[in-house]
Amino acid sequence: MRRYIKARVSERAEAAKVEAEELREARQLLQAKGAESTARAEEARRRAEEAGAAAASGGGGGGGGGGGGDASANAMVAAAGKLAAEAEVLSAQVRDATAAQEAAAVRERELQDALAEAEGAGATATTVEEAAVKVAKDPPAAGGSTESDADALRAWRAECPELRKLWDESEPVTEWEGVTFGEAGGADAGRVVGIDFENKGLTGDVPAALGGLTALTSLDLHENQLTSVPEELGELTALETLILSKNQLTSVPAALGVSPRWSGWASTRTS
Amino acid sequence: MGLNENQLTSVPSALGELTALTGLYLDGNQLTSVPEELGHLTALTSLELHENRLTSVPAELGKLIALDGLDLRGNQLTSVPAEWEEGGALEKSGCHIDR
Repeated sequence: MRRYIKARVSERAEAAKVEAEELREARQLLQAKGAESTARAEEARRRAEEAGAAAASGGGGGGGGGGGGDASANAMVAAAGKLAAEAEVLSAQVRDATAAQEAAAVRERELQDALAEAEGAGATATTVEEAAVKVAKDPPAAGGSTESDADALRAWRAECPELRKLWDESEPVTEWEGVTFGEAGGADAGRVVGIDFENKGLTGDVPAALGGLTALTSLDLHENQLTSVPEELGELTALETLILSKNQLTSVPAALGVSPRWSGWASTRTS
Repeated sequence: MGLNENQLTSVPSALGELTALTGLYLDGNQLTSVPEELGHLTALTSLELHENRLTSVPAELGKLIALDGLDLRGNQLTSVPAEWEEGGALEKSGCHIDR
């Protein structure tokens, strides 16, 4: 599915790029044509003025070439009129070319935005895909460290205003209230093994980062105002006790039941 | 697993995979039914389903005869698995049933 989405995104990005390129060329052609039209219109106007001036002096003077001169002046007036009309047409063409060019520029900007968005989405798809591959190769349950546990706690703190009040960032995470760490010398030394946040007024969603606490055996979040828990809780394969009582959960993820390693459940009643 | 006193309208059938689970607390939710897969949780000694909106429970839950206590109050149950009925297998095994 991710592969498919990524392929579609890059297809769209490629199409947008080609179209933007075509429009850029079209715009350049129109620009050149516009400049040429303007030059020709100016030339026509100039010649029409000259012809008009010549006709005026020919008619007003009465002499010069006589009848031949009149004919010549009339021809020049006619030519001036024709050239003026031509200049008018060319001016209209320039206006059209400018409008088309502006439309093309707008469309190109739209496409460039779309392209940037598509490339962003493509990058996200790649990141998600890489993360999925990484998780598949290196399941979090198999990894985890005191550092990754501290990162998971910090991530939760960052998302939860109540935890920001409860946990002082300047203190080491091992001093943070409600968190129990594995004893020195044990298999889980320094890892987070227990979280107890009974009635701390926690609101909103429990973040996915919690799934990284792979040494956690007990998670007690009862009596808060939580509205959801992430499916990543299914990665907590050492978990024996999960207490989510007295919250505002409307559903629990199916992943809570899918790990075959998750067999050490104990029961703790909370009322 | 304590999920009691939330606003759950259903629970995933995948919970039936947690075959070592000894306690499942689903009371005080808005469940109108529970998945028959919960019948796989044969290690359960405590199952709390009271204060929901259940009108029936799947016959498969009759297999849960390790239960020490069963509280079904505050539902709209019209029938329960035969093993759970008054004088049934569950009560004979020493389980206290609140109906």
